[in-house]
Amino acid sequence: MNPLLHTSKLGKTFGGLKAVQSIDLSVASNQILSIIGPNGAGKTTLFNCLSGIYKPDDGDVFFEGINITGLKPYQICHLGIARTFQNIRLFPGLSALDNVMIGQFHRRRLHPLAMLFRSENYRNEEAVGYEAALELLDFVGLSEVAHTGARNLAYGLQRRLEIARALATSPRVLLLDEPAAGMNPSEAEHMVDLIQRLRGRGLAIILIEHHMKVVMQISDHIMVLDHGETIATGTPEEVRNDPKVIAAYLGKES
Amino acid sequence: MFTRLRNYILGFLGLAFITFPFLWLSLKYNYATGNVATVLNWAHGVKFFSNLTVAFAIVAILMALHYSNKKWNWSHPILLTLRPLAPLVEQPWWTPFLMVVVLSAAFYLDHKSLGLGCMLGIYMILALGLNITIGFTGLLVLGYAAFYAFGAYLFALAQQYIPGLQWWVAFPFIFVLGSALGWVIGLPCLRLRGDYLAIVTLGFAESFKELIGNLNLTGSDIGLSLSARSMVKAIPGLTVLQTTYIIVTVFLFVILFAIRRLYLSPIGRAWVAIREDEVAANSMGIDVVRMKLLAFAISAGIGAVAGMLFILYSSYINPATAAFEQSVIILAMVVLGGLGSIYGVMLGAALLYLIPEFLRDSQLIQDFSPNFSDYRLLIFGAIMVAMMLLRPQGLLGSHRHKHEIKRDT
Repeated sequence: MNPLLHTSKLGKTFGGLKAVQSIDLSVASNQILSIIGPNGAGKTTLFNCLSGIYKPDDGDVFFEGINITGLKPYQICHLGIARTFQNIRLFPGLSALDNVMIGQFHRRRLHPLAMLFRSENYRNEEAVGYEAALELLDFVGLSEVAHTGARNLAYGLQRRLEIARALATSPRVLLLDEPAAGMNPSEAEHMVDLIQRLRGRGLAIILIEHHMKVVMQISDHIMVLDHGETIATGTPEEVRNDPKVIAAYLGKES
Repeated sequence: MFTRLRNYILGFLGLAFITFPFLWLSLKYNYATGNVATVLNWAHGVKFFSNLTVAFAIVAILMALHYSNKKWNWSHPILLTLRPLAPLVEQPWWTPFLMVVVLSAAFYLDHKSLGLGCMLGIYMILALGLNITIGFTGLLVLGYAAFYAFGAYLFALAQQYIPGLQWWVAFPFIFVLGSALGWVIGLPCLRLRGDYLAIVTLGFAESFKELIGNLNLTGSDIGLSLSARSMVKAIPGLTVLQTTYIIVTVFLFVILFAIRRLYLSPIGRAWVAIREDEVAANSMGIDVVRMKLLAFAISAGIGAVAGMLFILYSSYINPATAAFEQSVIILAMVVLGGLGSIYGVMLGAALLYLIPEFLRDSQLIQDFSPNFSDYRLLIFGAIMVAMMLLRPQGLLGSHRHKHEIKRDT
């Protein structure tokens, strides 16, 4: 299958520290690639390179065969790569609904005069956007709190809202940075269900996660990072039995 | 469509019904004293009191406008008894009626109050303009008065080179040139983070003030004076001041309308998103630099138009218009009223402009301390500190109400 997003020899250094180096990953639609590794392994740095927040020092990122290395985050978002954040970054002062509607921004035609005079087209677009946002909130199970301020949502709901907001940008690749972090087993179970349904929408998903149960349950491929380097890739079964992975997580036998 | 129209008509009739006794009484009183011109001064001789009444009315109207935008919790014990009024209050049905009242004030306000009204309108426009950058987009601009002075000088100079230049010809150019200036100032620093913009705008305002204070072209320290009669063609039957008041008021309404519409549009949502979290906004597909520049340019353009209105009113301009003090007063209006709240910043403008003016008038204060206005800034400072401690979101900027950007399409 043709990969939707792939990287070649991606690297990023901060001063002398090689945060990530020589990362080759690829993900196709309907696939879930999980990235795991100990804390400080460079997982979030990798995400920041993919989504344009950091500019990679080495290597390239390709999306549908086009080199997108070094593009701005909003340009990457326009192309169809959306992300969530490890430390939730919603727009806290706005309602859940407005958060999602902001995700639709780049698909809206911005004609100031149409907005000032509320042209027919503009009103239709606004109504369609409103409905679409409600639908997305329903999809992630937040329809009841659509008008609640994001700040006042429970932690688990905020994570879901981030996903809904990312979906509103109509992405083809979704980068989820620890969506189940800090969740209890039943909440994590719900998150697994949500991610499965996301895959059902034809998205390619890259997932950073520490919940091994979640990772092993849903991943098609797993990539293990340690000190910025790939130490193993493969199916969940292969990775689970890889001695290098065990060493990275549990320490070497001495 | 029809329900809306019906609400407007009902509202108009309702307000007419409520206000009629007062209008009638005041007219009767004024006829009795042979003074037809002043309806609002019906508490004749107690001028301070009547001024305060007007100020209270302005405050009440702005608060009502602010809260008519929100979902009201009618099951609240205090509001429960007022529940039958719900359909009336939740629709801003009296907006057109209010516009007529404010416009017709040109006919019944005395000369001095009209002057206050003009300046109040100009300050409200300035507060609304600055609110776009500080309130919506979260960009701290410390030199807003520079754009105000820029517009004023631009119009004043244009008057000298093109005699008889009318405001309706000039204002699109002033808006565009003011926006362009904002764009140019914003371009180098909006790419950076944090408070660079505050420092750059502050520096720009100071150097602009020095520049116009030293150029012969702009009349250096003395400034420029023009003739109001040549600039404002009075509407037949009205004085020049009455016409100016109407011009300022119409500009205020148009700018208020435009800003409200923009705020509720995707552009407004993008601005608020940038204020709430810039990194997230960027990752959600918002071109942060472009949207910030747009906000900054529109804000600067509005400031420049306010400058033109100031010239129409005062027919005189000097470098003090661009002073830091002026920027701070406008900033204080926005902060006091409530960052990001459209009616809130207008309320802030009303309070911070009218209260010192009334205090200056009041005999009581005059007896107490003849140079009371010297302490204006001290009192501003005290109010600002108190606000930051007690109500950091401003008078009408409650976060509780700000969750949903209301849409009425």
